[in-house]
Amino acid sequence: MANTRAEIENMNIGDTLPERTHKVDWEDILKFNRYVTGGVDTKNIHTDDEVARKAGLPRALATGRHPVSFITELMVDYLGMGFITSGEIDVSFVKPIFPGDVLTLMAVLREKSPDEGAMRYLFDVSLVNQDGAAVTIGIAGGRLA
Amino acid sequence: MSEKPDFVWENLEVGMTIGERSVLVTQEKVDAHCDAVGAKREWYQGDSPAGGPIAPPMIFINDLLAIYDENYKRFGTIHAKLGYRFHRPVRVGETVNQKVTVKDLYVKREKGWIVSELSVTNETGELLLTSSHTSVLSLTRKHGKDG
Repeated sequence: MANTRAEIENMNIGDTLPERTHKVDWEDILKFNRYVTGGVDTKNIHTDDEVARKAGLPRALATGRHPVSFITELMVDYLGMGFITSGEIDVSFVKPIFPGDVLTLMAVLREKSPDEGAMRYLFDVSLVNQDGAAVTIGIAGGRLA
Repeated sequence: MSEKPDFVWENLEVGMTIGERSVLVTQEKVDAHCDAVGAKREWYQGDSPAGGPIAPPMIFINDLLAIYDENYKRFGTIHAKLGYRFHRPVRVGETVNQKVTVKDLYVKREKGWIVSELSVTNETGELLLTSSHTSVLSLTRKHGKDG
C-alpha cells in the first residue's frame, strides 16, 4: 500500500488524490437494498423498473446514499483514525445514478490548516458518471491521525 | 394500537423528536454493511487503532429512515443532501443510542423540505457522530398519499 501519510502531507491546495472508479452494478444496488431492509428483498424505485416507472422515473436507480461510502472509505485510507474521530462530510445529490453507471471519485485539496496539534485537510469531492456528469458533489475531510 | 401518523409537513415541527432507540452494533451488521458498500478494511473485522473492531463511518446510513418508519407512515423519500460529523469510533459489540430530531422545515420552489438530524451516543453518553439529512417532504397528507 502506498504511503498515504507522506502523500497527503506533501499535498498543496488544488492537488488531487488519485482518482478511483466504482461501477454500480445491479447486484450492488440489490445488496444495498437488502442491507437497509435488514436482509429482505423488496420492490421499490431502487430495485424494480416497473415501480420506478410508476413513480415517474425512466427506470430503477441507485440510492444516492449508497456511494457516499466510496468517499468516506477514501478519507479513511488517507486520514486514518483522524477521519473516524474528527471527520466531516457534506454532499449534495445532484443527478440520479443508474445500474451500470461507472463513477469516478475525485478529491481536490481545498484547505489545510492546523487543528489541535495536527493538520486538518478538507477536500472538494465529486462522483462523476461515465458521461462526465457529476452525480454527487460536496466536501469531506478531517484531521490526519 | 393507534395508527402511525403520516410523515408530512402538518405532522412535524422544528425541534421535535421523531424517535429514539438503542441499537446493538453487531459484527453481523458491520459485515453486512461492508458487503453492501464494498468496504474492506481489517479494522472492521479485526483489530483497529481503537482496540478491537470498529464500524465503518457509514454504518448508520439507513438508521435515520428506519427511525422515521418506526414512528410514521412514510411514502418514500427524495434525498437532496447528507452530512456527517464524526467524533468517536463506533465499536463492534457496543450498544448505541440513536435520536432523530427535526432541525428545520421550509418551503422552496413550491416543495416542502425537512432537515433532520440523527445523533448517536454511546452507553456513557459520549457523542459518536451526528448526521444531517435534507429531503423533500410532502406538504399535505393528500400529497403524501399521492406521491
